[in-house]
Amino acid sequence: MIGSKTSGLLLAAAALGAMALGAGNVSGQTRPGEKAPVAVPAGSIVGLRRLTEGEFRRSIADIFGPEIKISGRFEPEVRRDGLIAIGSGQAAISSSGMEQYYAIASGISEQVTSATGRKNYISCTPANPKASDDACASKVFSKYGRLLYRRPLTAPELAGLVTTARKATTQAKDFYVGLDETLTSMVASPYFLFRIERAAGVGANGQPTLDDYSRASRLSFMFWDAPPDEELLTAASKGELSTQAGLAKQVDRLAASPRLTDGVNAFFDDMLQMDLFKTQTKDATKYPKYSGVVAEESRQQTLKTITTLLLEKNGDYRDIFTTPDTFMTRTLAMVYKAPYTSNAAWAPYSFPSDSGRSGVLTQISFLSLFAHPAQSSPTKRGAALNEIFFCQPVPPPPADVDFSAVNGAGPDRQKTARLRLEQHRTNPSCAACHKIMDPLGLTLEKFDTLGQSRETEDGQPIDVSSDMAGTKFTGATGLGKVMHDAPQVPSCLVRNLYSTGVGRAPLSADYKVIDGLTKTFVDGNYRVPAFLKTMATSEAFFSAPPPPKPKAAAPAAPASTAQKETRQ
Amino acid sequence: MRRSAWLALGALLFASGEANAAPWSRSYVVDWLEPAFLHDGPENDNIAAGKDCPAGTANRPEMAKSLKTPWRTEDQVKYYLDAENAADLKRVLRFRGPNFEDVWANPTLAPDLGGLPAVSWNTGEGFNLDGKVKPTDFTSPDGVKGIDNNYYRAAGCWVSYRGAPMRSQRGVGINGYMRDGLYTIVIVMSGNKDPMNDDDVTLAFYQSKDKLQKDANGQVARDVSFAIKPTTRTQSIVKVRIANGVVETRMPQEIRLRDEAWNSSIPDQLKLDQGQLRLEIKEDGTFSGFLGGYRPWKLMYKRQAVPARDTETLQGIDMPSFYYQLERYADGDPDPVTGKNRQISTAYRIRAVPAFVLTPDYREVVQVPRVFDTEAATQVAGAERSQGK
Repeated sequence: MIGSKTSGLLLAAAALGAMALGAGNVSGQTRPGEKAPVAVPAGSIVGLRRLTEGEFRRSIADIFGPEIKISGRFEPEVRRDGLIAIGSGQAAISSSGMEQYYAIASGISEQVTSATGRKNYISCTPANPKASDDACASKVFSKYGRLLYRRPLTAPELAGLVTTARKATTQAKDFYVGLDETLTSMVASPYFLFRIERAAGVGANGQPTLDDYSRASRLSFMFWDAPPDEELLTAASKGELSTQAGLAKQVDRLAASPRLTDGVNAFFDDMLQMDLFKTQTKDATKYPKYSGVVAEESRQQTLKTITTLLLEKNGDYRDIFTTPDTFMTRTLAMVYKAPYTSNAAWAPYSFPSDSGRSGVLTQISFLSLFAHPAQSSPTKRGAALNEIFFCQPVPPPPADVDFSAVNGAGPDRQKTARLRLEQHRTNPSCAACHKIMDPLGLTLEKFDTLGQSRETEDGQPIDVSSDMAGTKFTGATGLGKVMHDAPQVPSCLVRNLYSTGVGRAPLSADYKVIDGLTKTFVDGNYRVPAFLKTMATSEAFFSAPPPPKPKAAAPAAPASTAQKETRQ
Repeated sequence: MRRSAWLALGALLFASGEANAAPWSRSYVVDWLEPAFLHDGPENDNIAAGKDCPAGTANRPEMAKSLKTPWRTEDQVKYYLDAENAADLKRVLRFRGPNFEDVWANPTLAPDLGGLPAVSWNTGEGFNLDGKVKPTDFTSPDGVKGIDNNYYRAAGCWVSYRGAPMRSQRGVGINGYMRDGLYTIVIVMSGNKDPMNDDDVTLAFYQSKDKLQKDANGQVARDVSFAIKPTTRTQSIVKVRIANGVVETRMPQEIRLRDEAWNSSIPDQLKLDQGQLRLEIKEDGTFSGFLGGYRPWKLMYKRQAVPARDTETLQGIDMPSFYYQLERYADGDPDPVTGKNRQISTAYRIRAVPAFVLTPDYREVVQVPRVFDTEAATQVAGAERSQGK
């Protein structure tokens, strides 16, 4: 049985290799200086995106049920250009990661095919439970293959799976062992672990356009952070997602579903870099209120604030920087030093006008994520504001930078962060970037590293006044208004939504699309649900980048000894 | 006035130290409550002799004496003293009355074997409850004479009570149960002048429905919200004054709060007759201090005797003898007929951290102490809200 499972792992790895070959099977012929449509054979792989842990978990819950336990270690997420959604398009799976996925898959399939599980998940019964039953196996694999691979299985794929199951059944003399082995290889298959996008041909914009099943996945993961449901797969099978009417119908349905909250949650969780909570620590001596519960609930607090404003209230996106309305728990209220007048787990809450708090930037999540374990960091907060909300990357500090003025201890240490940073900025190589980051971050200095209010630092009053390119503002509420009115903020959101949908950083050609979409967003009064529908029904949303130009063939080199051995 | 405004006002007054005439309110959750016993002797050694207990603690069980009854043979006693038969011993231990009665419940059916020495020095914490300075009284470490704390006198050499403040085995154990959620005590104080100097302050003890929360260091977390459990058994409102941050009762009065305990079957009410308190408010917003008063000594016995197997076997306390010890040192409330004292003076060490105290329905912050005897206290809170309080 172990040998069989190992062979399943090899099967999955081989499929990954074969798929990579397929992905390379795109070609284009363009004459110098000529912008011609790129020839892309239908079915060519034009995009690969590794499922995030959240997408994996939601997929399994959707396909089999939320009661299926998923235990194991996932490959670390990769963040690129500000988003894991972009990084997942560049992420691979290591050999040890493959083993982990296989172990997770094995755990899932064991639950599905167990004596209890089979009653719920396996819709047919073998004629003889100790022998193979190709018809029943085929029925099971057809059903789950379509859901796991997010497309129907090809006839050879299905035949291969049935053969695999038959062999394992014969060896173990147990039909369900065969089912278990094969289902494991399906859950560990790259066709499940990766969202594989295939071209249907070339679109009107001259770029490869996605086939219907790839469209279905783009839509469902964008709107629901989940794989396509039955209705979406059916629409894809009928080619409806390639028609404007059929597409609009499905987009309307997805946007009207309560599951839109899942999609919007996942997007902002990514954009606001909430994954950093997994590795966040705070100095327990100085900040004993910090705990894993505070971390998780503060994450939820910000997401609830956003989804309630954007979806339930259909509010203006820019108000996330100014709204006093949020949700509270007893534990979070402790950190905010506010009474929790409810016996429910969560309760609506509005920050008092004299609290100095408004908007998500003054919530624990942002304030604590972008800070040091034992002290606040105007620089980290300023950099995060630039990167997350202005899409303005901030370069890392020079390798030889002297941090002693900022982080050093001793009698010469300035008492407030503002004074320390002023001292630090006397270094010209640091000043250029700090000029961008610090004025924003310093306005949040009345919140310590955990996001608790304070008026002084080391006994000195904190100055939260700021000046950004001649615009003067004060404190967190002043910052919130600046962010609310900054024109880069909505365009950055559009850039991030678009990148999340297409799974890559914008290429030069995409900026024209993003500019157009931004105008739509602004004209639509910054309403996210309506914007999502517009974006998801645009041609650009289903386009893939032109394939890379083929490289000139390298001269053949003599095979090395190792290569010869491999070939043998 | 919003809670934050009250706090801000309080903080401002605290920072400035200036007297001011304005309503203020502060609330707390108790993070430590234990009998106020003083320990002398080597640090971290609750058995060795000290000036408090020159003979050390009664740490050796004298089971042979305890087990001896008119009807139990020497061989039977020997059998139960064999460590291999410890389970049997625990099962039969309490049944040693003349007719097999439970002597923990009926201690007068057993003889007074002594064994638990009384505290012999005269340094102790608490209050001068009777207004007299007697030779048998204690003097506090800071020189206050006439301290009445005879529960300490009677039980202070008990091994589990001995130890530095908040370090004794019993104190750590019982407060551990409280911190793990067995019960919660909250306090609200309010006045109309200066939170650090106000001669007319109302202070209330309440029990809360909500469990304590711990911080990352395992201490009771500050600023957590607690709703009041509307029971007058463990609730009281007392008049106090504050001078330079020290809260004191203006006159002896009854104080009721939730008693310390290690399981839910132990009587829950800590009722101090002629009670006094003295609490010192610290700059970090916490307070620590003492409560004192007289308690029925038979109740004190009962609290200890209900689950007494380990007390007798591990700590060497013969429970009937402890009963007689308390009777000997009872010093208050003489019975008009027999003249025997029915109460014993005692004191408790208490510490608390800032918290928010809510009405039983969780809807309002309690700014001014008042009685909450039903869940329907909301109506009162609503009335208060409509008055803009």
